Amino acid sequence: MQLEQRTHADAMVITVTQDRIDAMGAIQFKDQMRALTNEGPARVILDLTGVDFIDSSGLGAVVASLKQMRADQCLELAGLSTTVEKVFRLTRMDSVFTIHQDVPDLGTCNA
Amino acid sequence: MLSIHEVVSESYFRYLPMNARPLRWQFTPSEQEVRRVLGCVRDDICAAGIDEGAIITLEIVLAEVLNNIVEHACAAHAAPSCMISYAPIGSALRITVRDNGTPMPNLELPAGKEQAIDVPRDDLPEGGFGWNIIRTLTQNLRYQRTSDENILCFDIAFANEG
Repeated sequence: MQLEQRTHADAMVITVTQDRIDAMGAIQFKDQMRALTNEGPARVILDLTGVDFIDSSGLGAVVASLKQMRADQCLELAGLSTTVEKVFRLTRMDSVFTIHQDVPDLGTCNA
Repeated sequence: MLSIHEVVSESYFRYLPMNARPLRWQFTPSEQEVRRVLGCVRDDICAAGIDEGAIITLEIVLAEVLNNIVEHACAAHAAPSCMISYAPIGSALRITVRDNGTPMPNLELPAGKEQAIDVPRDDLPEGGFGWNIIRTLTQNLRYQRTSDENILCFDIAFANEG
C-alpha cells in the first residue's frame, strides 16, 4: 500500500497510489494513515482519484483512519470513482465524510 | 419471435462465441487470488458487452462474497477451493459461487442489518457491512448446503435499455 503526502499551509493531502483499497491492503492502509496523520495538521484530505475499487474492508480502513485521528482533525475525501462512491453511498458513509469531486485548491505547497 | 431470454443471450455473447468463453472460474481462495479472479470476471463480462452498472455491481457483490469465503468459510481449510459460474437469465446475470468451506452458522445467510452511522466518531462501525451490501444489490439470493459444499446463488439485474 503506497501513500504519498504533501502538506500545505493548514492541510495535508494524502494520495493513494494503488488502484484498490481492499481486504489485502486494508491493514497496511490504516497503519500508514496513522503514521502520516499522527502529528499532521487538522485538515486532512484523502485523494482517491487513482482508486478504482474499494470493498467493505477498505471502507472499514478509511473509517478506522478517521477514528484514529485527533479530535481536532477532520478527514475529507476527494476524487471518488463510481464504484467507490457507490460503496460509500450503500453504507451511508457518504454522510460521515465531506466528499469533494476533485482535491480542493489549497494554494502553494510547503513541500 | 425470440423470447426475452433468447434476445438477451444473443446480445450477451455478441462479442465472443459461446464456446470461446470460460463458463466458470475455479481458484484457491486467498486475498491475492480473489483480486486476480475479480479482474478475470470483470474482463470477461466486460468483453461480453454487459452494461457498466451491472459490472460495477457484480464486482462489489462478488468481492464481499469471496472475502467472506476467504475469511470465514475456508479460513481453516487445508485445501480450500472455490468456483464461480454465471450466465444470463432473462434481464439479469445469474451467478453461482461454490466453496468447500465450513457451513454458514445455522445454515442461514446473515441478516446483514443496516448499521447506525449517525453516532459519535468513536462509535462508527469499521466492519459488518458485507451482507447488507450483498442483499441490497442482488435479487433471488439463495444459499444451499450440500454434504461438503456451500452454494450461493444470486442475480444481478442488467440496466434497462431504451
